[in-house]
Amino acid sequence: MTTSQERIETVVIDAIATSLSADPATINADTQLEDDLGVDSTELIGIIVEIEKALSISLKGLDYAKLKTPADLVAVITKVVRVEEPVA
Amino acid sequence: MTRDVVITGMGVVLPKTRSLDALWHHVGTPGPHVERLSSRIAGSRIDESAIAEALPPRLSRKLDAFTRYALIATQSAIEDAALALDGIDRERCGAFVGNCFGGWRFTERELRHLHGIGPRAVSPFQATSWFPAAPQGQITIVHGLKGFSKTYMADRMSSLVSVASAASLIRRGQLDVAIAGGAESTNTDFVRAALERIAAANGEPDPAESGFQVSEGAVFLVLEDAGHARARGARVYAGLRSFAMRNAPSRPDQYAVDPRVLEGTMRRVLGNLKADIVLPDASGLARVDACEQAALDTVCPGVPALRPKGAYGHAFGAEGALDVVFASLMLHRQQRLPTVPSGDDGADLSSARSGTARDARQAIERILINACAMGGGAGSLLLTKES
Repeated sequence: MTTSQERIETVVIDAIATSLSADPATINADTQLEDDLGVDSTELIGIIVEIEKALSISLKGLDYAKLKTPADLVAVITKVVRVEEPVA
Repeated sequence: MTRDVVITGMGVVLPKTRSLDALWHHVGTPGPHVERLSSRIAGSRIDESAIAEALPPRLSRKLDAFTRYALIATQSAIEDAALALDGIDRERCGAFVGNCFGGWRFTERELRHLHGIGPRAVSPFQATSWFPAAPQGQITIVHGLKGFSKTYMADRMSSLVSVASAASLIRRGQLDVAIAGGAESTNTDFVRAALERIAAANGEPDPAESGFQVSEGAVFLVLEDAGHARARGARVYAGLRSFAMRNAPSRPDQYAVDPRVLEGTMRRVLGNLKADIVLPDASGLARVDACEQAALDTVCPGVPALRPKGAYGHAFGAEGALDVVFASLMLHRQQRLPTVPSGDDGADLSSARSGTARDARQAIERILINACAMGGGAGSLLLTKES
């Protein structure tokens, strides 16, 4: 199964917003999960599980300490899913 | 160092009850207040929709119901005390919680996820939501309290012990202020199944047909050093005078049926004093209540014994603190609780028989509260009127 980069980004932002009961419009790729949103380690696990469910993937074995922003999450997801080539 | 300890704020979250006035009104309103919660257990439960907006959703979804109740009741108690937390030394303010069952509402749902879907479907907040100290942790985090804090699990005595322990630390000068009380969520299949076994082990194989009724919720108090309360001009509901507890050999799933256990704790807290009103443990288990009545007949003959918990059912970990609230309201208002007579919904144990119109007009100076625990525990707390 392939997934577009845009869909991955949307799923990540939506998972964060849902988990924190926040407005997705207030979150962007560079938002700091801990410093800007106050995400703690348990909430981060919940966010990752939400992403796994939405994309039907497994994200076991992540180094959670390196996941500082939504962009970091998108980067690790693109390593485990096949991302569609952008249409030229 | 020995200081006087007073109650300056109270908050409740109970079935159909969110305020002290509602509490007073509820126990005086003819029932029935209890319903059949399962095929074998009767009692009352909290309508979650009535408190859905009370906490931020981001916080609420991490918590079991008993912690949500605790946070709401704590906030009400702090507001009732008009206590500005920014103005106190939070290193000398702690949280003391009584609880019996922990977070089975959350756990039951997540166990269903585990067995129905798989481990990844289990909420990561399961790890922090279930344990009985969760309310203590959340109260201290939300309010930034840094003083000594503790959670007590002592069955139906739990929050009598938490209140008494908080008072002891204030009395000894280790704290100036404490948030103390109890929280319980019983509206789950697991807890009801456990309660059926408890009732059966104590002589009530068909609890729905007995007086054994179950409630839930949270009750919290603001306790203060009397000097601290006076300095800030706080309203004082009542004083916490003395507490005693002891234990008699008993099976882990059974209550003591030797009246001498409660006689001992009552005598210890009363000394030469006489109580004006007693709030008994009133478990609803016939042989346990008969034991308590025998102790009352010996130590407090003729003293009116009110049983307002009959208007809700027994709130287990929150019950001791609830009785402290009932006593504090009576001492502060100088009025007997308007409990309805037994036979309607069992809200009054013996005042109809031992109380008189003259009793109702007498000044209320001292109220004695009893509580018991499986395994043979018994405790008594004496509250006094404060001028």
